[in-house]
Amino acid sequence: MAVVISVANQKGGVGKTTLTMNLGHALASKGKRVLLVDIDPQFNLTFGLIGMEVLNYENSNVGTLMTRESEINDAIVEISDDLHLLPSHLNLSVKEIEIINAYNRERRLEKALTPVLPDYDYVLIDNPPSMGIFLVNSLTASDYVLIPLELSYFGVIGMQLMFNLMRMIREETNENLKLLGLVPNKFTRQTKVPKTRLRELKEAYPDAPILTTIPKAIALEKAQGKGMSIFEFENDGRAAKAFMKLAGEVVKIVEG
Amino acid sequence: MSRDKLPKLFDGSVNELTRPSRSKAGEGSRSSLKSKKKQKTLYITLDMNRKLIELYGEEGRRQSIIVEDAVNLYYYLKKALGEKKFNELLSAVGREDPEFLAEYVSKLRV
Ligand SMILES: Nc1ncnc2c1ncn2[C@@H]1O[C@H](COP(=O)(O)OP(=O)(O)OP(=O)(O)O)[C@@H](O)[C@H]1O
Ligand SMILES: [Mg+2]
Repeated sequence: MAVVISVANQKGGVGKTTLTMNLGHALASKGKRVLLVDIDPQFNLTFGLIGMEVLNYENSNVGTLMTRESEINDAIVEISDDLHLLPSHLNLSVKEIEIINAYNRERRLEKALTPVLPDYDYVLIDNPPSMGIFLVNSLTASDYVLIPLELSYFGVIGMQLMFNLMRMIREETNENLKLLGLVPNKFTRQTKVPKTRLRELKEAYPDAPILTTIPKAIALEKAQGKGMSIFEFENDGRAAKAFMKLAGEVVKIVEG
Repeated sequence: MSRDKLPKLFDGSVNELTRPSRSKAGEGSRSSLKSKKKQKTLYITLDMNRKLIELYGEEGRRQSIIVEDAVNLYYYLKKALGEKKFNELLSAVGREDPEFLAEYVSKLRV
């Protein structure tokens, strides 16, 4: 039975898609069966993984699943044996209005995923940077939240907004939602800002589960530009090592 | 707004967030946990959702970056220039005249 993890942060550009993609590859390389779910109308993850092929999924994607116009097995794309994708599509933003007016609108994703959960060990959901119906569906369907964040002033503020949102979701739609951890991303020693913010974060929240820090690495940007995981692009670099370490940590926390 | 210290916006315990809430259900399988998820509905009005999307979604990706850049500019320029020069700069910006502003900035001395 899969464990469902939302990769979420209301702040844009903090590395949600990068984290989902590379953690997914890392888990798959550890022999885990992984389903990646792209619930972002800007479909960066989908485009990164299947490129223009996204056009073939107009009638079977995460949105048509949530409006119950299609079946989940038609929508799943096999990237490799152990890594599958439930794609997003350009038409997802149009579905938003339809879903928000629908019955049981917060549980559309949860209901859609249920039949395939036994087929996977991990389901990772890449979320949009917005507190709308898609993020609510994702958090409602999840066991855990993984928060990538930038160690900047607004980065730490965005993280706190996520804490508040998590509390709201736990009170309203999913009492079992748990914080898996914080993943400081784009870490650099070129300025003292990240280190300072990290210290402040630890002071403000001594209990915060801070997981592996991902370094700022040009290789990650280049890999993403080519639609490749960091492992395909630069397997022996710092970033690849950090993601493998993170995957190990995630497995340890989730599987005990 | 002091930028020397981060404002704390979450008054709960993070430790608490890492565990299921009100969990006496801690024992038992995950699937049984799942079935116990509450069936409540989160109330977001259509209008509210639109506003949230406008603020954070589609446009928002850029918008929030603009707001962050603006706050950083405001805060650090004010520190660097001092109150008086900064207020002068603001009134120069207020003329909404890029040529005038370029001229003004080129003469600006810290
Ligand atoms: N550790 C890193 N080092 C260097 N560049 C990074 C790193 N992590 C992410 N990036 C780059 O930062 C940009 C934003 O990352 P990404 O798309 O993963 O963020 P996101 O949170 O998914 O954004 P959005 O909120 O728009 O969906 C991308 O260009 C990505 O390649
Ligand atoms: Mg993204």
